Amino acid sequence: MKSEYVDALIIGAGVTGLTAAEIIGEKGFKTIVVASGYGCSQASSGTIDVLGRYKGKNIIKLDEALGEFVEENVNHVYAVAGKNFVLKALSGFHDKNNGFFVGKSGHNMDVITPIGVSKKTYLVQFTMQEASLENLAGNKVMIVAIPNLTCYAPHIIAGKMREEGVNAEVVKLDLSAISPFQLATVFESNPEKLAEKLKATGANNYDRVIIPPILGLRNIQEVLQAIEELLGTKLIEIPSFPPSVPGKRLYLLLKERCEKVGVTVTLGEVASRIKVEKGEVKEVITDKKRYTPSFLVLATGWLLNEILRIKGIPKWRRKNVFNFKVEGVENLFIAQSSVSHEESIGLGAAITAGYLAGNAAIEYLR
Amino acid sequence: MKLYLKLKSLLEDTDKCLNCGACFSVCPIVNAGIPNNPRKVGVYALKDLRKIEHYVTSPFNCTLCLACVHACPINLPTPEVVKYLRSRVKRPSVLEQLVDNISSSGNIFGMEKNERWMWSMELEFPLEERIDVKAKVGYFIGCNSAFSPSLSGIPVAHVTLFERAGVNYTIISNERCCGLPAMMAGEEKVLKEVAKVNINEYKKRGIKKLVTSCPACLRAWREVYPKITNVPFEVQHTTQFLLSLILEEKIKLLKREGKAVYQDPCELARGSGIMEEPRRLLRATGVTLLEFPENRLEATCCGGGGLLRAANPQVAIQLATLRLQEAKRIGGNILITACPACKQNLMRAGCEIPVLDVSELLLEALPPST
Repeated sequence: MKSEYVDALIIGAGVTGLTAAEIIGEKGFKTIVVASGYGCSQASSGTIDVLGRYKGKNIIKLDEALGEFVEENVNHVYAVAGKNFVLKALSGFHDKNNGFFVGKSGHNMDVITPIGVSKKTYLVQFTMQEASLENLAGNKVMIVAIPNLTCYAPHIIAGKMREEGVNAEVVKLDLSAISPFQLATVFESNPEKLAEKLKATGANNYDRVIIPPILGLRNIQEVLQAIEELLGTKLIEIPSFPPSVPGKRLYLLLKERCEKVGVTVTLGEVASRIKVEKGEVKEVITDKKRYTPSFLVLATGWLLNEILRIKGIPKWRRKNVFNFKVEGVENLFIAQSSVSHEESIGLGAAITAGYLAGNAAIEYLR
Repeated sequence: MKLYLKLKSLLEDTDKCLNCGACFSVCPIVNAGIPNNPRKVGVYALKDLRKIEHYVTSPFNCTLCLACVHACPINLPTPEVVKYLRSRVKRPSVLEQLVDNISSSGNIFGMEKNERWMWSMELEFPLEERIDVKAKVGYFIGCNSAFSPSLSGIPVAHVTLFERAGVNYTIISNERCCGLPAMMAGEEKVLKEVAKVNINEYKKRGIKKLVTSCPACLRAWREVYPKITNVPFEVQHTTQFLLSLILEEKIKLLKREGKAVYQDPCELARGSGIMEEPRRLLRATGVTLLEFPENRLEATCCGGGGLLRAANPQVAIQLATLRLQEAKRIGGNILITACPACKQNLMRAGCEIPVLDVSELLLEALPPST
């Protein structure tokens, strides 16, 4: 089987892999992403958590907290990148996805979790921007419960909200559902259907209507607008448990942007071996093809990763993956971001790792 | 020799399930609102066969479209599990009949051998010289195309294109079903029998290359037959072969207009990785190619596969209707596919827009013979 030449090969189609791929692809390099399947992004809540809590304290201003964090966790991706790099990468990500993700530069915001408590996060999808207890206090809020859909807990959320002075009521929707994805697919092409069901329960009499994230996978803005116009009240999505629609939206967003700059993303292709000779990655073998990459980014995550054998690197330990550069191998970058080993650090680490990997690849390829 | 994966290895694999729900999010059956869950079929049901009834309507409620494997972060072979389960539970009577038909008459419909030439009545040239002769290329028609009156256009288009390009080809009168439907129904013995007959027939004619227009037959020839015995020739899908004929300028086409949406057949895209050839053929006819938001490896199944059409026709048609609506929504006025099963299923869902095989589109763009 002939080996295919690529400038940059990325293994893993999570947030890190796709972020890196887009940066490299933008510069005109031939870039391919191979992955065995969906990455962690699909299992994430689709919000960008950077550093929500540290040492038991909620973080609002990221600048100071990151500085402290970086000093005390020298092996962490944030420390490897440096505080300023992290903030720059995050605002770069925000600029690219402005409109879809909302947030305040350098600051955390509140969002309600699927079990009703508040968490601090950096960016949320625009449908969730008002989903905080502070915003809702004093309002008459309807919380939609959909039979069989277990992606969030409406009664617990309502209880928490009432404690915070929100006039919250749970209303059951007459809708048969199997999965949030099924509903998202249906409402994407047919928003009137959801509007009708909501109207039948008297949703227009409430100030705000809270629904699980089911407003489509791609054209969410249009779906939201159509329903709000028909209903005459505002809709708010709140994050859900995985497998979550916002997580898949994030994947689709990143993937489609990669494809726009000419990057090929192939799912269902399992990388099984990396050949290293004379301090250089020579070849990557997958179950379908062989590649000869100039530069290799390993973004296989950690949670969903199966052990990849790297021939030529003895005793490669997966533990200290934040060392990033494998000694003596110039054209390999390991960006296993999901080992963030602190609570409320999620996709922020992934984005940072993606930018690090992308920059390293561009520098090498030049 | 076993064709199915063994229970032990399946259990080892499914033990790794993370419950992330990626399969759930792409399952066409779930997304159409039918209660079925690949995660539960694949993982829980296997551990206790008795539980199947509690979790799913039945393992036959699956199109074996491979979307779940592709989405799975650790590539659990859920369709293999489904096939295994199918071999262990009682089959619906339609599928029992189907397996019987293949072993008794060599095709899925239980039709007589001489009935397989019905489609050739539409031809403008005699086919006799091509039947059972020595040739370089073998054309494996497949049961669906050969016997279904609604699909007769597919073999007609192919042989007409072959004749025009001057291809030295042959068709076998003793062609048997590829056997894959039997395997999908959970019966592997039949497949071994038909495989030997099929391979022998083509060996006798000394062919160098076998082409088939059915992606399921293609997978049987490429992936399953070599496990049984040596296949001494190359096997291609007809889209690959037709593209090579066009590139060699053996077929010239007139330009036509239209906005065509291409539906990737699951077995062709995810199963065999053939995605660009059909698209290049489409562009060669001058039509504008429109894409579904989910295309190529992530394409959504039309419901035509995995014997769902036999086991649960309503669901199959429901899936096809969704595809047709989507095609209309993105502005297509013609839906193109490269699989007889897809075409038939999409046609059954009511032809809001015409559904054609790639070869039929090429035939329409063929200049009149001189």
